[in-house]
Amino acid sequence: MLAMTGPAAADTIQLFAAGSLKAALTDVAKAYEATSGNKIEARYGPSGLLKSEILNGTKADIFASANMEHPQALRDEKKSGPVSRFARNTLCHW
Amino acid sequence: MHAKSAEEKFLAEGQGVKRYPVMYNDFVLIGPKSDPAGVKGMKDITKALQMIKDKQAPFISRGDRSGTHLAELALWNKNAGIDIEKDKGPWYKSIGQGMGAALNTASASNAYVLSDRGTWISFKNKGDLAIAVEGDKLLFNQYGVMLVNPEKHPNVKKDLGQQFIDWLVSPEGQKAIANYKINGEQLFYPNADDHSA
Repeated sequence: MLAMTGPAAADTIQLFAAGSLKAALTDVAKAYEATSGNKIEARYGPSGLLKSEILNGTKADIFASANMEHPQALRDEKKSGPVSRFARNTLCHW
Repeated sequence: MHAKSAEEKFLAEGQGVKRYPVMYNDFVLIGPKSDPAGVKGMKDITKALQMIKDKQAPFISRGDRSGTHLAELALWNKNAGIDIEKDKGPWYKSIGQGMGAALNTASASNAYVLSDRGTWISFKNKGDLAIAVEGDKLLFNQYGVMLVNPEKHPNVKKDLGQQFIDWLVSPEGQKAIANYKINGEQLFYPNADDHSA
């Protein structure tokens, strides 16, 4: 039975995620836990802060982030003048 | 992808493994019902921000380097053509806190604020605030997920982490995301199959 539902020994996954995902991912993670038998231990906060913490060695297995293109786009803009890069956003299904 | 994003840089530096698009939602511009900037019902977020600045209407910024804060800065600086650091006045307050605190501050001071839709719908202290601007494609907000690179971070549970990512982007995980609702409203739209996201 156990072999059919996932790994024999339950384990914990450390998840860092954007604060705006808290409510939804808490729910979604429960669905995963029920399916896999594993546990999700989540920490929510601003994506930029969480990213810095990972860079500084804080333990995380997975990083679920809001779109972090903006800071790079801003830096690029300052270097090279106005560039319209938001066009990629029009690729979504609206 | 057209631009080398910060996430790609994060990956290129070896901090994370492949990034998977998972889902998107959108931002909404929240403002007082009295609408001092006259932007209510507009679809053009760029023009709305220009009007807020012109009228010097109160605006609350999270100022916490979150994805929402960075999106707000990009809308001012890149899209509206306003150097917000240079042009901001007493009407623009950066609080260095999360979405709930920013909405509370906006509610207490009848100010405009950019919020993700989910937090706005869940927010209990709406007071005299309402959605002022929504529906502009510039307000689209993509989320991705990545495994932290086990070669740089030896404690990473590679197989287990990847198993969760695989589940998130699987039909079952994508359905769980689509099924998440507050007050009957779907908040996130799964799009793991959109490789351009």
